[in-house]
Amino acid sequence: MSYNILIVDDSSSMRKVIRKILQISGFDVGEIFEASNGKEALEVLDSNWVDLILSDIHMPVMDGYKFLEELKKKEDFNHIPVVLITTEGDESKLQKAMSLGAHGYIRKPFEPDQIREYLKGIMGEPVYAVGGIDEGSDF
Amino acid sequence: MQWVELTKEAISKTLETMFFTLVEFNGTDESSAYENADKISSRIKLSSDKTSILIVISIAESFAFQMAADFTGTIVDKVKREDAEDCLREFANMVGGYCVNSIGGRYSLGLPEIGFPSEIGDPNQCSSFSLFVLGEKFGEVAVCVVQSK
Repeated sequence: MSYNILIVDDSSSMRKVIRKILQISGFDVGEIFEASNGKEALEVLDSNWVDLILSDIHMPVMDGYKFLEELKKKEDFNHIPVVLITTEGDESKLQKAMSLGAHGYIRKPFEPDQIREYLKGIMGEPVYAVGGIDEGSDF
Repeated sequence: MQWVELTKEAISKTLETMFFTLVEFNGTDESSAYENADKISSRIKLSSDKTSILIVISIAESFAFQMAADFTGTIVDKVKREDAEDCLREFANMVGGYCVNSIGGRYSLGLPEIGFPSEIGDPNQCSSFSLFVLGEKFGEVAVCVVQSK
């Protein structure tokens, strides 16, 4: 199964980093969409099929908590796993995010392997060796 | 001072993990390259009921461009000023987040911003230190602790 993935982060640099990690991770990744906050993410979801969401919490306009709340209300989207990639350190707030339906979280700063290992639990084993494909790389 | 040491640890960990840079905090860069360079500053505020911590990170512009290139896996010629600013904003975010996580989440993290603040409070409440890589100074950090009124 090829996974369409939505990256939600107000930092364009962080979106690029996560995109690159996904591209070289060996997973069967289909399209990668980007949004800079929860509101934009909902707009992307309205017009695209997405299998997995990787989202920041602290964002302007609509933060990760509100985004999770809105997703939960929408039957078409509330089955999509949401993994938070965040600097949030307050356990009670992270638990709140989990209660709103987040699949789990990865704290920034992170090693690329942390993302790869976490996503194995959702996407299964990578389909090719790590580093085997690096499409679009500037290197 | 606890916050200075914690900020150093956060900077060291973040630069090593996400920017592939080994930072040093002690050095004697005899050149005045950093002082004469254009700089980009980012800042983040950590707040609790009793105290606010403001961390201001200033980086030489050329180094900030290199950081952005390393971070996003591109070449420095392709980095624009807005990319470097976005990268430094995220850097401040991760440094602040690391500090909050390290002390058990008793502080809430503000949104990171670009620019040196017009006012950083009483200088007596601020401590600063320099950032070096391979003996060359590339940045300065101010950590200000302000008691809430």
